[in-house]
Amino acid sequence: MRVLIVEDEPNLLDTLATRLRSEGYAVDAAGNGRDGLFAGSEYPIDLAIVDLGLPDIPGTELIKRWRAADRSFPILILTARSSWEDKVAGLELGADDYLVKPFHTEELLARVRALLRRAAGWSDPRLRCGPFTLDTSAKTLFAEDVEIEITAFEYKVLEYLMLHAGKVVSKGELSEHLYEEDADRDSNVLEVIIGRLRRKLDPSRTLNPVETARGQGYRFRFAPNQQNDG
Amino acid sequence: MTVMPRSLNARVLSAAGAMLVVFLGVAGFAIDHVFRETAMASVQDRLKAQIFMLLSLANLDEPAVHPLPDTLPNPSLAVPDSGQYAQIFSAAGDPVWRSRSMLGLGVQQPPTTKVGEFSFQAPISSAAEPLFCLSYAVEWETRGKAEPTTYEFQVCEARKAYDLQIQRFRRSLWGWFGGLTALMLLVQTLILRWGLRPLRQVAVEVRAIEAGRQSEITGAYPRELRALTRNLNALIKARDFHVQRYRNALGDLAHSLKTPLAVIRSQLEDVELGGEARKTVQDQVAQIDDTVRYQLQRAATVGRHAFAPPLEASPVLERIAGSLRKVYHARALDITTRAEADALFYGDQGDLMEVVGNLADNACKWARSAVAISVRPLPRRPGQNRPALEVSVHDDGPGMPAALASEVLRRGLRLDESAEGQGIGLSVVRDVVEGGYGGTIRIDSAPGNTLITVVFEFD
Repeated sequence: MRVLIVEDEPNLLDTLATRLRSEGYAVDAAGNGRDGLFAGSEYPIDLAIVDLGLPDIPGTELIKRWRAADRSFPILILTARSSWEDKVAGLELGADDYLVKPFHTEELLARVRALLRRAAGWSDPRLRCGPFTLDTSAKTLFAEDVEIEITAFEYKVLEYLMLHAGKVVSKGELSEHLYEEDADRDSNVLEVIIGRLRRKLDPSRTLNPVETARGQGYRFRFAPNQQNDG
Repeated sequence: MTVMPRSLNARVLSAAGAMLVVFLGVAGFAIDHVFRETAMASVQDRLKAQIFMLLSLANLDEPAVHPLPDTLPNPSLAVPDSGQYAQIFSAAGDPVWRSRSMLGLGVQQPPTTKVGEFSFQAPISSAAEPLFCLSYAVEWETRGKAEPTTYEFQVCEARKAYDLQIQRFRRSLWGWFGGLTALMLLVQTLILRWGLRPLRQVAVEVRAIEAGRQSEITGAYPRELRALTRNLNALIKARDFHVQRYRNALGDLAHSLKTPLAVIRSQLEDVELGGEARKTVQDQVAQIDDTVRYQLQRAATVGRHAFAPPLEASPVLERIAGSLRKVYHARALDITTRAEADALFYGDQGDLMEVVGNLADNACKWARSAVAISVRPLPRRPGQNRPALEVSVHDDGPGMPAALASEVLRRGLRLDESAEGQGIGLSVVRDVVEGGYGGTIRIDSAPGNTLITVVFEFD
């Protein structure tokens, strides 16, 4: 999943970006409102973390412009102002959640996970599709209660596919959402990862959880078990 | 004890009334005095005329026979008890003649009067009634006698007529004066009403500003009031401006204090520190954060003020509920709002949002499945201009132990570290409600049933 952070305090921006990357997110970091506005408008990001107190363009303005341009990714506001008037104003402009500075990074990560799930139509932190359960909090995978060991990158790919279970995800979309803008993308790497995931998820080659839609991309075959709440 | 200053109306009217009473009283007394003197003089003139009339008719050559004719020009002298009497005495004091009207009246001892002089006695009390009497002594030269004989003529008039005249005059005088006083007080009142109309107009406009129907004083006012209305307008404008500027400054301060705190907190999670040292620094950061948040919020509280326009509480509740539904989306809480008609908040919108937001957010943190936010105006107490407003938030969470409920409102006390900001949130609520609006806060808590009720006062 690809996350945009817009924060003018370089230390905070750096720490957050590092932490999010270590959690397996592709991170676009913007140090000012202008860059943030551009990234949010042009890149296929899945979530934006926006500091409201930006020096050049107010955070609220970014939210307003993105929403006006039909950018619907979830937005998490960071604000030093803890007044309810500001919180409500930010949420009414189109943000989805807020965090008041200073916050615990764990709290931020939990909110990010929840927002990404919600955007994909999931409310439970455990994604259940057929016999498979992906715990997005613990980043663990189970097949019928048996844990399957997967690497961080495999997790990233599987999480994206399972969040969009039942839908075809193109290779291009997958790489756009898994890699940062300036990353060196190699589509062969994705194919290798998909192959490894297939072997780990379905060693007996009977379930075929990750289908190949010829010429279009991949699809996680099992629909979500739970009721999606949009 | 301080005495309430009386109204301008009462001051001017009582002063004018007192002046009127003193002026008309003195004038009436003087007129009354003059009138009585005039009336007395006319009594004397009448008596004198009677004496001259008797003198012209008297024949005292032979006093024993017929000193005066039977029929006199003044018929009253012939009617007993008519109130007009006449008699003639000899020098020795014996009555020579008495008018028929004196029938049955006691003999009056004549005063000793010098010849050729009038002597007025008033009043003489007789057996029947008080009298005014005038005596005149003459020397009657009888033909054939060498020495003239002295006679004394006395005419009397009952005082009753005079008294009646004075009484009638007084009644009429004071009647007119009373009417005049009433008329002048009425005119004075009308002048006062007209004169003070601009002041009443200002009061009406100030009330309209209080009620939020207008934002400044717009009417044209006389020169004397213009300074006042101009200053009032400036005051209202300056207030709004200061509140806004103050808020912005506090926001900037919050930003510049909290971003470094956020950096410290995030860095702390990376650096190599012993578990104890890390915990200490984290606690200190949390404490600084709480203090900054609480004090900034305290400073940002506007509180009640006379010119606060009424604010519909219902939309504020709706906005908070909408925001919380978004934030607590994952927990699928049933967040409902209920606002009674005329639930008006006379204060700053930020204050109301802070209270409702903190209470509702707190309730959402603890609730199992449902949070209900409601607001209603309390019945107006006697003399209360703006009714108090009650905001209550209910949740079905585990509830607060009674001992904690009473302590949770204490400043800075953290009820539960896991629900961040818990202690601060309720402390902020208490500070806004009690400090800013002189209101009250109450916590009723049982497992599955926690109700926090705050009451805002606006007078």
